[in-house]
Amino acid sequence: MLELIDVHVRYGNIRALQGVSLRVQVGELVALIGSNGAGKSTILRTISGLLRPSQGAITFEGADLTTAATDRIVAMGISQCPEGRRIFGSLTVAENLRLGAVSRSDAAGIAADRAMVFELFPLLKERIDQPGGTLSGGEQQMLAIGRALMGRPRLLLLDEPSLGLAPLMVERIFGTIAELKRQGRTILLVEQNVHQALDVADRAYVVETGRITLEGDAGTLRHDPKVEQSYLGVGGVAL
Amino acid sequence: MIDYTFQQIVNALSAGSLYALMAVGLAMVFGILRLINFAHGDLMMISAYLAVFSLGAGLSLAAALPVIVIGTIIVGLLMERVAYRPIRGAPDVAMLLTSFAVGQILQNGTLLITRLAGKPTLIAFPSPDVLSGVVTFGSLTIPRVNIASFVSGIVLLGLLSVFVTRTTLGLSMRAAAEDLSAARLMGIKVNRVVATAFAIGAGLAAVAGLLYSIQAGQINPYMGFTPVLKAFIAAVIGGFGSITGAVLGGYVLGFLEVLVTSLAGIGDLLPAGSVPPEVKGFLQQWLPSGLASWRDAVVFVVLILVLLVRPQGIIGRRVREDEL
Repeated sequence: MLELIDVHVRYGNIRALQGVSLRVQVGELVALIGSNGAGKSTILRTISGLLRPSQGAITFEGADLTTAATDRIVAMGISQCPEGRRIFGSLTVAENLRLGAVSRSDAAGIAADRAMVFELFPLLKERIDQPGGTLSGGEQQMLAIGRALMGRPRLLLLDEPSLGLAPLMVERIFGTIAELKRQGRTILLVEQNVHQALDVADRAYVVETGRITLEGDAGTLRHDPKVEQSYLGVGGVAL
Repeated sequence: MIDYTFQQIVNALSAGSLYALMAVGLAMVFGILRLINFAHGDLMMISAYLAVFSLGAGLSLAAALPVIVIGTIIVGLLMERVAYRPIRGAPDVAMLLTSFAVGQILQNGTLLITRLAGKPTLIAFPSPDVLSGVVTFGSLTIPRVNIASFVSGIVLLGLLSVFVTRTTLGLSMRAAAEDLSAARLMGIKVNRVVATAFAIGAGLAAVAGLLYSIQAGQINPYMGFTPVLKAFIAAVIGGFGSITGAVLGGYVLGFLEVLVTSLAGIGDLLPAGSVPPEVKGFLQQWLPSGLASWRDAVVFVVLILVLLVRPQGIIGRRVREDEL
């Protein structure tokens, strides 16, 4: 469905991605794991067209995304829920959701998806006319995920959805991710919370200094000695 | 005294409306692009010249108004497309300098055209009859143009408020101003939103330009500078980048200016015996009639105080550093 082939991205002189290749199949939940600054978010930003590869290609269902504008990429069916939630604080919950569907024109479908989001997050329905900025961190994360779902994406990109949330809310968000997976959605998930990411994912890629260093089934990776040592805190000091 | 006060309030509302109409255009563009468009004042000037040529050609106000407004909007859109889009995302200083360059080009271009048309640099403004003269309410006399300014301000800003709170395009504009890359991730077409901001700003500047020219009585190619500076101050006082802040700042500025000019020489205006002589002497000493010419100095002092005490303005918010 989504394929990145040898993608390079530069921030000025910094080589943020150095030949990343990965693929996501329909219905899969794929996790990108790795330490802070490894380039996981850069991969998602590049897929969404906020950053341009200096080399390499990105395709989505056969179409070339490499030079497509972000609004076109969203219209093609890729929504991103960005790191740090980035909800529009002065806009209400309803308005945030409305903008999530800005690339669509099917009023009935939009209304149905709004109902679906409220079913997934009943709390949002209670806060419907409240400015997004007045919501708690966890509620804002729910809104950010709901807003991304309003684009009716065929591929959902989730960037660090559990970052900065209280443990109970982290559980809640991973519960939601599992629920979205059960619904058959295709998800590319970036997480620092490696343990839980590997629990919920089908497959995963390990990203280190702008490269993919390891890939495989989530279950296999969980027992990989290198992953255990570096990211799961098993068997000594992480390098 | 009540009449005098009322008269001054009308003046303040009228001036405030013009500042607000101008400040909103600056604020919308700044909110999205972080561009301080000093050429915004020149759109007022373009509007004034379009008015001179269309009214001068014998068109009625009703027929000339669409020409003036649409013509100014076209210039505003061209400005964005030709000058600002290619440098979008450039350092703030580069964008600011570009806006000065755009202003110079518009001013000199207008000068050239007026020369070719055989007109002088300073042109008397052919005020339409409906907007000339005064209206009398009892002992109050109010210039018609002041009423028109106030009404246009309220109506147009009201429509703008409906636009940014009810329509998807308006909400997209606010979202883009709040967080541009998050807005792009929603699939919002940034070019369309930016063009909309320029078009609305230019349309409001066109109306402000027409009303300003009627009040001033004459126009010249450089007339946009003082208004854009005032509008900038209004927007900063309100909270730069915020539409509500710009409107609020515009009216605050209008009231402030009128307050300074109306308090100047108030001691002389008071009828004999209405206040004790000591009070009258105090007022004459501290609020002399000459104070009126210090109006702009007072305004700038207030601006400096606002920047010192509340740099984000009355209702401003901090700008995100991590926006792309």
